[in-house]
Amino acid sequence: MFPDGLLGFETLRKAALEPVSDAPPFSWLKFSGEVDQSFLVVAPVFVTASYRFELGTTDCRTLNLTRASDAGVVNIVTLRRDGSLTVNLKGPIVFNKLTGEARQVVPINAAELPVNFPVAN
Amino acid sequence: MLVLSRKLNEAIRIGGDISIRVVRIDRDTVRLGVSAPKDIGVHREEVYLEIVENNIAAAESATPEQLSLRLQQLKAEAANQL
Repeated sequence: MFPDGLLGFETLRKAALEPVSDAPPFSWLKFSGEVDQSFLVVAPVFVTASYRFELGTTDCRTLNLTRASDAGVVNIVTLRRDGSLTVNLKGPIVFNKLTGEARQVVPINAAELPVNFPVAN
Repeated sequence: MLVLSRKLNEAIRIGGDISIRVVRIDRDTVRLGVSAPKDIGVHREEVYLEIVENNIAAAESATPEQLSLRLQQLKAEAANQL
């Protein structure tokens, strides 16, 4: 459940995460409601080992996160015109595994994170 | 929107612990000093716009079918390279 939608898609609310059966580790973040919209997402650990972002207090509070182990993270994947895939590390989607609350956050160190990190084949 | 005039070295405060001070004025550029608790994100608006643009690009980039196909192709290419 995304109480605030995604940035630029503020009306999206209800979502489900479904693994892409023939292409792990990718998943579909499927929004349903007035408009159906899917985003391809991937857990950042499959893309880069060195990803670190700092979550602001407001985001922790909104998500009711008290322990890091309760948080899950996925990042949106974009298919570029040249056929390459890139991952948005600047605006990760953080969710509370216990409550299902989710939010696209702008981390404190967002300025140093790429919005179009290339996915290696 | 609240609109306030500030001179050089004057500041505004937001809540109890955020202040934004005009530290330099140079032709068409105003330099601002932001004091905020370090667990609060302070970003140029462009950071948000970049994420919005990327979300739109991701949403428009392809249908699930096209994306699945592309993922299959990439997997096959990777397998061929081994």
